Amino acid sequence: MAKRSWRNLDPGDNGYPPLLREVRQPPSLHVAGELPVTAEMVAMVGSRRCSVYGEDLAYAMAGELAAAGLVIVSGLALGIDGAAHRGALDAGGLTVAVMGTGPDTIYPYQHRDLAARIAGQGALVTQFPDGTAPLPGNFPTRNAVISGMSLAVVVVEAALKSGAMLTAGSAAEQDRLVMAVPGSVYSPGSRGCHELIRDSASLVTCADDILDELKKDTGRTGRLPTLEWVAFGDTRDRVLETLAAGGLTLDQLQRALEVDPSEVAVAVSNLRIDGLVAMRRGLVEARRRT
Amino acid sequence: MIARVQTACLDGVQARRVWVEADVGGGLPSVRLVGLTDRAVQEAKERVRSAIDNSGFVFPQHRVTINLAPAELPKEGTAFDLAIALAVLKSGAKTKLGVRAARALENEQQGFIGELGLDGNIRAVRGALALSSLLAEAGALRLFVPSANAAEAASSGVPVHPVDSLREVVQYLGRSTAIPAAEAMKESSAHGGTLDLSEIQQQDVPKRALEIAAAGGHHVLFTGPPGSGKSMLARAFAGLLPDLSPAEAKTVTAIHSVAGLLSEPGLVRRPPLRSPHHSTSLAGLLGGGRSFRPGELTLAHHGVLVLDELPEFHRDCLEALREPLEEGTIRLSRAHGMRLLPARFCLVATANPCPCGRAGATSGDDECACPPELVARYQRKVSGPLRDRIDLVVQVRPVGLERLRENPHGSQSAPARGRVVAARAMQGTRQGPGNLNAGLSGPALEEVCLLDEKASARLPRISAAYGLTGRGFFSVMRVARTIADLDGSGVISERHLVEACAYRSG
Repeated sequence: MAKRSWRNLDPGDNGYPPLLREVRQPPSLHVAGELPVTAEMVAMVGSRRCSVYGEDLAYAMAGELAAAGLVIVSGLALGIDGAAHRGALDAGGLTVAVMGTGPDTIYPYQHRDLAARIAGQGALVTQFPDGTAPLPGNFPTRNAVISGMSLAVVVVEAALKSGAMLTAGSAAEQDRLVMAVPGSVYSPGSRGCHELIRDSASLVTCADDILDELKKDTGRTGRLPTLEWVAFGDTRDRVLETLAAGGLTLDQLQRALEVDPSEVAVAVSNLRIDGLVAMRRGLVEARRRT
Repeated sequence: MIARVQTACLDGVQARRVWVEADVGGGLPSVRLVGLTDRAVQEAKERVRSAIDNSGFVFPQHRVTINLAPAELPKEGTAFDLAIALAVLKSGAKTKLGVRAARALENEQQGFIGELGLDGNIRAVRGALALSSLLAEAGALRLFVPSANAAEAASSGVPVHPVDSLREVVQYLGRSTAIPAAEAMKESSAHGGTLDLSEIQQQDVPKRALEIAAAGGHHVLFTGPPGSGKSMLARAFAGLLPDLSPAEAKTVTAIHSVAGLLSEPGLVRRPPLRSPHHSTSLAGLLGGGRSFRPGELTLAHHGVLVLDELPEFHRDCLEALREPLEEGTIRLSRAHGMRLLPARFCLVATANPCPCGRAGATSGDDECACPPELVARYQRKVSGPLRDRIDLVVQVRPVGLERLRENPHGSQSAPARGRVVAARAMQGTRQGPGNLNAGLSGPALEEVCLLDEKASARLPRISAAYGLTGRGFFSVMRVARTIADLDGSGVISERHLVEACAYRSG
């Protein structure tokens, strides 16, 4: 990371995120890239152990928001964070990654290339000095910076006890909008989102919902990221129906459908060949069709 | 005078013929035993002297030289005692052996196996079947074997005389009448404590995978949280395999005899099931030790090796699995040369999805809290090359109590075994007996994996979706071939191919 030029940014400096200046004890930042302070920022955070559903959704929504001119702020973590950054980058938009490590450490290492892209199409930001390792204690402080510089925090997938829930908590403290995307009621990975909605976070299901909430009337098209498929007229239909509630193993699918095991295997495999389902940690999950 | 008596010694899980030569000459009384012997063989001098004296014979009061030929072969164990005693008695003068017994010993088409006690009693030895089979092949027409080993040794096909003491052997030799021969051991009928599939609730997909694995000899990995029934599935696997063929039974019995593991008298007819703990050492898996013992992989030859909690095994043990999984043999390089050991088994492995084991648990309350990096590291312990050799990977999850239901009565394993036998018969006719689909590779694989038109048309699409390259592609083809065999089909249809893909890891 020595090659990348980092510069210091104090709360009094020009180019310091205006919203972040309002929080209690705004930190000094190290910045690589161009921190876009004139555009409005929205944070999108979620679980590192996310489902295909969450990842697809974060990628798509971040892309649409970035295309609408918003800057996507996230935490460079695996899972939802990475998908949100990527969505914004691929849509040609801007994104800011707030790191929980020093400028000389990119964590996780799998995101080195992603970090390089972000520095060229937005900015890498950290409040920690060189040599700071990814210590668990640093991430809550980092989360407060994510929510602090953003108008709103969108939680895509979060378990009850997770970093994303902490970010939502600090957002509420800082008087930011909190939005959450619902998931299957069976999925522990979405339980945090449901808790947030119960606590008066806005329920959002697409980029337009988020833009509506931000009171930017863009004319809601009502497009919903639901699962749609043409009927195959065989077991595949029932497989997709069953998977709509969340990912299952091959055997769990077989138990739900009560058909011959080889029949389920053939149906799932055919769906996978056609890109309609994907495997994630041993579970068969339905893909969002775009 | 020089005397020569035939016996055999163990070399790995096989045996080698050994001639015991004894020469009693002039000089001060002494005994020398030569021919690359280990401690146990050297101590034979003392056992043999006492046994001879206590059996009413006389140990020669001269210079006695005993040579175990071939001299370059390292020898270990105690099975030479009887042959040494007879050679010494024959070569010495005034040993009270008797003329007829001495003449009977001139006949070299007989073999003697047994350890002597100081009182002249004969004790059982390890590996009697391997030893006697070798002697039978070498042309021996009758064998003298400790009573405790006689039934086992009789499977070698030559008459076996069960003997209990040195005195008894000499009496038999001196007698012209026929000596009662031991009966070859009966087949052990026990199906050996394996679980029937019907004792496992539901889990139809894992059961299907087991049937495919049994039919084609494929290796299989079950992944799932603790308590999901992985180990029960693994134990049920042996029940799906057909009985061993006579040749296989003999090999397996010989190996287990060398390891000293034959608990009940009887030719092993059911495929062996070995499930070493994950703390097992490398030598424990591959075999070794000062007096060589076969390892777990060799003991599982023609049977099942169950490795519970695969990622918990030592890394070097996991890497050592690669060769036997691929080639069915272990090559052990040791100080005194290389040893080739048989190790063709079906691997049934289980693994937790993450270190805490709770990833993928259905109820949300005990959800896994392992960081993704840790999970990735845990799963990487089973390296790519090893994973590539496992054709079937199946997720297992606990069956909820609300799902438990009465299973249909009667065995599920027996009909499944019937289908496995039929599928194996197809492979036998096509590829030659004993050659299962799991062992196919290269040109042989291409030759037997005929795709029908629809299957070959869809193949590029399938390969792209599953990222099949090299080994992964061959693995899918082998499994597809087995599924077609279970279906009684000569060609692989699209359905067979697509189902095979479903059991890949992902």
